[in-house]
Amino acid sequence: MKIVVTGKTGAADFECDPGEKILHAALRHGVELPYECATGTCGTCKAKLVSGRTDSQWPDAPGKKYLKTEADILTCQSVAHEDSALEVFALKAREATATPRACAGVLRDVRPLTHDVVAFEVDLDTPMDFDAGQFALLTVPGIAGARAYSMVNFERGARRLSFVVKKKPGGGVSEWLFGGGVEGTRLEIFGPVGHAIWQPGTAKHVLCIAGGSGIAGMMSVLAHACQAQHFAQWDGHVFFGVRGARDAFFFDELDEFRACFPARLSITIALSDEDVPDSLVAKYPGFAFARGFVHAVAGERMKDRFAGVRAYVAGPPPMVDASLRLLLREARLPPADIRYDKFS
Amino acid sequence: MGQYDRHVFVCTSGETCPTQGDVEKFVKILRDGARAAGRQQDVRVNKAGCFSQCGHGPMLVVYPEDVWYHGVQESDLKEILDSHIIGGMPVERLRYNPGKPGANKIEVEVKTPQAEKAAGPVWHRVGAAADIAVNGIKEVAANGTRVVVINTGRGFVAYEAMCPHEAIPLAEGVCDGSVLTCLEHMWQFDVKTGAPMGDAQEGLKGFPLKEEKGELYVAMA
Ligand SMILES: Cc1cc2nc3c(=O)[nH]c(=O)nc-3n(C[C@H](O)[C@H](O)[C@H](O)COP(=O)(O)OP(=O)(O)OC[C@H]3O[C@@H](n4cnc5c(N)ncnc54)[C@H](O)[C@@H]3O)c2cc1C
Ligand code: FES
Repeated sequence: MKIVVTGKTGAADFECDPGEKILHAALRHGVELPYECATGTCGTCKAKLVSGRTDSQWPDAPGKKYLKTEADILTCQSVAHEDSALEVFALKAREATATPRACAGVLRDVRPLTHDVVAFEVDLDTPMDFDAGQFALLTVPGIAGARAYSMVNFERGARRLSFVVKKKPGGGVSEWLFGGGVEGTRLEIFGPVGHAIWQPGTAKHVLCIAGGSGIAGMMSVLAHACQAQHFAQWDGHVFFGVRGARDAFFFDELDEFRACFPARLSITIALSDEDVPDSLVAKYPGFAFARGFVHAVAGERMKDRFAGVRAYVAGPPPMVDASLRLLLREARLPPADIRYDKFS
Repeated sequence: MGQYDRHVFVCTSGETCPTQGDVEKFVKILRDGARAAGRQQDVRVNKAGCFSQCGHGPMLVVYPEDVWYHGVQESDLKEILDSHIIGGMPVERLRYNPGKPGANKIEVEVKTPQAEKAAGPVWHRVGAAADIAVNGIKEVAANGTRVVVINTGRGFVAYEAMCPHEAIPLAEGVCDGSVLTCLEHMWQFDVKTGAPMGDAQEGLKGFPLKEEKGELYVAMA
């Protein structure tokens, strides 16, 4: 089926397979329809159906609350039944990122990192190129809808994607991952997607503000930036917020990154729910520690140091919103230098 | 337990509510909505007299939660219906909380045929200037239309309350004195003119604003 999209900045058309989400069809043809979560929660992918027939695969998607009229649809949840025409605000200029596609992979090496965080790998059928900070959409057989998870690793032509997922009580996929017996499951994958990317040659200092599993994409950014020797010339400030000492994970990996560029790469751990135990300070003498919410700690310690910074933010929505307020109001960064994923 | 799961009262005969919106139509939309959801037995929508909160309308009250809504627009009714009347979840963003019990009228120009004919704008008081800090953004109702009033540090400006992008309340956005950013998708606007900046594809509709004796007034066409 042919889908035609018009926006204020031009028009584009692409083929959409039966049962394929309109957003996926667009992106895999290099048409940059607007999106953010790609999983039905944020409303960014809103489009107006001008002609044709489409159906939402998730009629209760929370993103629907942003739709204004009956003709509005969420392209990330909708499939087309015939040739259709859509209207969006604007088709964005594409950043030079790999074109996403649908593929499959096998779940491997599921291992708990804390009482409520699990890491796992996905062995891909065909290698994937992606940018540091991107995410993939994973669909588990028998669970409705895709979930967005940020890649932790970074490599070109990756045969393996690494992920880290925090348990959401009652959550379909995260609880399933904790249930056991999931190794070897075949997953449907769409990716890479996401705009919170770091690419070599970005002449900026790097600021990462992550809450909980929001650290996933930052690990990928740090891996790539370290490979590219970015922190030989530019500063890196990583603020990682967890509730308490028992929620700590990836500290050893972060310390390895830090040890490669001790002069310019700093890691600050913010504990929101308890005072910093001496044992933690003794174990990671290269880290800074503070008690408080990660956005507040970042705001305090970054004061007067926001010039020339590109910021990356990821984690639970309230933490991301608080960080965006800081970055817009206090840091006065332009939106192009604020890259974020809300784990909604 | 009363006779109905939800009992809705819409002010249709007060002094100002009926001039601030088509409240008779509101009643019809709510009744039709309850019927469409198959809830006509459990939901009753009544026309009501004055709640003595004149100037804050159009106003409606939903029981048994005893939730009061103010400045309700026709476009809000679906949300109130789906979320609260059918779903049981009050719509926090429209909730009325004047901070004091009992009657609470404010002076608004009642649209009489004469006033409509009169040339020039009609000014509506929207609150005290001192209530909005520098770079503060406050949502208010002017003659039933919701607007945001922003203290730019060098004066006040008034714009439509919702981001033209996805109808996100601009009051939840961020102002740094020169740029207003909607936090949801980073659309930005020149705070003095409402002109679109960056990713924004549309500007903000502005309203004339004046300050007199510490009170702010917004003009509606
Ligand atoms: C850009 C982005 C990156 C993310 N990266 C990470 C990460 O690296 N690590 C991490 O732990 N979390 C991440 N998240 C959050 C993650 O995607 C899930 O929301 C979270 O793991 C909870 O999933 P769940 O299945 O346990 O919960 P559930 O409550 O079952 O589902 C949560 C989400 O799944 C989708 N969904 C649910 N039901 C349906 C349906 N019927 N049809 C279609 N979609 C449905 C919706 O998006 C919903 O918000 C990310 C989110 C986003 C938007
Ligand atoms: S991109 Fe479709 S709802 Fe977020």
